[in-house]
Amino acid sequence: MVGRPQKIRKIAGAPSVEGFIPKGPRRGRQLRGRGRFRRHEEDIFLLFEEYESIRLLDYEGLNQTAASEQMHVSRPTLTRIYQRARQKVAKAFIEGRVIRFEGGKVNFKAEWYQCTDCESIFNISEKKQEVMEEVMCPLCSGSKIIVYHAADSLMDDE
Amino acid sequence: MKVVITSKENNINSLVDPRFGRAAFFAVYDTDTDSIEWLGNDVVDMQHGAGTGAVNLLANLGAKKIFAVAFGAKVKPLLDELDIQMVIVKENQTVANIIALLKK
Repeated sequence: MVGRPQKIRKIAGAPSVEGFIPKGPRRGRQLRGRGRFRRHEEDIFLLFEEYESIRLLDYEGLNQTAASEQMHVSRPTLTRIYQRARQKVAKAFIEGRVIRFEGGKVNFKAEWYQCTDCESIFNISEKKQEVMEEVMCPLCSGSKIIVYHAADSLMDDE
Repeated sequence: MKVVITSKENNINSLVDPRFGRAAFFAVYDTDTDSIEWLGNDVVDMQHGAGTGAVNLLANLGAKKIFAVAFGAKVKPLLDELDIQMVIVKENQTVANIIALLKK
């Protein structure tokens, strides 16, 4: 039997960096390449959804129920994601491994933005977000753009 | 690029129409040629599906952005699919005002 496909986890945004590198020479052997971030088979891959679970639970201080609602998964699923996240972080700490944020079945939640100049609110499709470097206001071309959080209230039921 | 602005009347000094699907007129503004085409919205009398009807009409014209004050809930997935951007603008401004901002 084929398992049920994973539900898409909603996350607020990609991490601000690609990952973390352990500092200093490793006992007994040389740390590879100075400051370089080259792929390595021993790297720990922390999935975006695992990163998000740490962000919501430990950084934002939400409880697991609230965090699971944010990510659009069930509470037990959230718990499993978080458990894996902690195991991976612990492994990286103890074994001195590189942490790399990558992958996971996620969907970036920030779809709506607001221009602080003309105050218009606009969406950006996922397809576009992948290729876009800078968000620009589609109306006044302003560059002071913030994420618009109350997006759920935007759509009225016609 | 063609963009659409909802409008209460078919002239540039009209206020934007607060409703998308049931807007009285659509101003189809071509940013390349700086020209406006006015479309009367014949779905106004429909009981249902005004928004989806309007989406079809405008998608066929090749519109890439739609400026309105509010969008109905059924419209968003359609526009996402068609890769048309939704822009929610403030009420009580004229079509001319929107176009002026676009030209900035």
